[in-house]
Amino acid sequence: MRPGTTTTPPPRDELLAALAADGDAAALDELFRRFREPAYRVAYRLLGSTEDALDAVQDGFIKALTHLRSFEKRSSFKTWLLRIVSNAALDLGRQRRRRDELNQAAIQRTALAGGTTPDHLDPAREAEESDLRRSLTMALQQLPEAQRRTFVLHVDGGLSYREVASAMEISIGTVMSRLYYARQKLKEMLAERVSQ
Amino acid sequence: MTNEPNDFPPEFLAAYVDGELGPRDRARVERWLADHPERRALLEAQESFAADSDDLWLAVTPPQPSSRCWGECRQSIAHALRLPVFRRRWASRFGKVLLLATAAAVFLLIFNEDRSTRIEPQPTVREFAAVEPPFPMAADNEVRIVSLPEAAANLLVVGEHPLGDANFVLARADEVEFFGVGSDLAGRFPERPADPATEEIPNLWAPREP
Repeated sequence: MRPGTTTTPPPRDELLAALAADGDAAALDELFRRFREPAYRVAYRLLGSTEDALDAVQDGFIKALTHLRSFEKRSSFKTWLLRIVSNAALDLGRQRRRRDELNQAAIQRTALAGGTTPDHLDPAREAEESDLRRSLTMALQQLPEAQRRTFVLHVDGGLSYREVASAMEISIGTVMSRLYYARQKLKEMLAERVSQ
Repeated sequence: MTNEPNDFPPEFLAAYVDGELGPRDRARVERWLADHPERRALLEAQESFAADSDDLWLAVTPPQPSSRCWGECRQSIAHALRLPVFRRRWASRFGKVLLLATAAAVFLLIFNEDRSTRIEPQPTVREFAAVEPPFPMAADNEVRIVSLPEAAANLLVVGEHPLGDANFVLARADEVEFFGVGSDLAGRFPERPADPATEEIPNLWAPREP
């Protein structure tokens, strides 16, 4: 740095969030740029679909900013946002499962008649995904919800054990245990798939 | 030699490998390793396990949305945020107006009530009504009976309020006299409270065990 020059530190996440919630477009742009990637990765791992993951990201940002008063600042804004996004993703997943169960017969009839199928059952799209990604997604879906969420918040959301504990309102010991068993099960399931 | 356990649980070692333990716990694990070099294999197994599973996971990144999809997502958020802000402000202003209007309506209602009772003097009732707020009662279509013991079925009154929309004022014990009232099928009879402390309290009269 040259003598006499000063740099302005980037605005803190909490300040940006307050400005964005009040309608500041530039603050929203910056906040979205900072957190869209981890939010999307978490949502995608929990849902396995790009479109649904984007819906969960959108829903999560809206809820986080419209309920900013509930944010007690005991954790970082990122932790708060990822908690809301992961909740939104799990809710969306439950709704989608119910919807799919209800529409299952109709989907089969349409597919047999040569019609179109929903995005996540589209054979062309399925083919685009690598086998490994599909295997990972399927293995993850078999984990209990609490383990899945803990694992994804840590590995994909980049949250520390302490931040995951704060986001899920559980102890650090529980985070340790869930992560350990989630990794163990994923490794076993993937080993089975690879050997098949 | 330290007092550390013979083995730490594997999830604890995994947390150590992840760099997630605090300085005190890290020091505990390191002391344990120094005392039990033969256990280093356990730690190395954890290191390999954690690295393999996370590397495998991160190697398969989710498909990236197009910039158009990101743009639409950002626009939808901005659009949704505009609506609640407007609604909150509108609700805040409307709330104040509504509060003032409600206060005025209550004042007028009490004033008119007071005037109407002066036209038809009913000293005891008027005196009570001026002190006590209106007694809210549910209409029959506002009540859902969840459970009804069979023995109480003949005591339950259902249907329209016998006084319609009129105000309902409860009498005090000393304002009530019973003429020709007999006991009910169970032999119960309404009794006035004998305790002076409760005599002044407005009452709902109900049968009581003889």
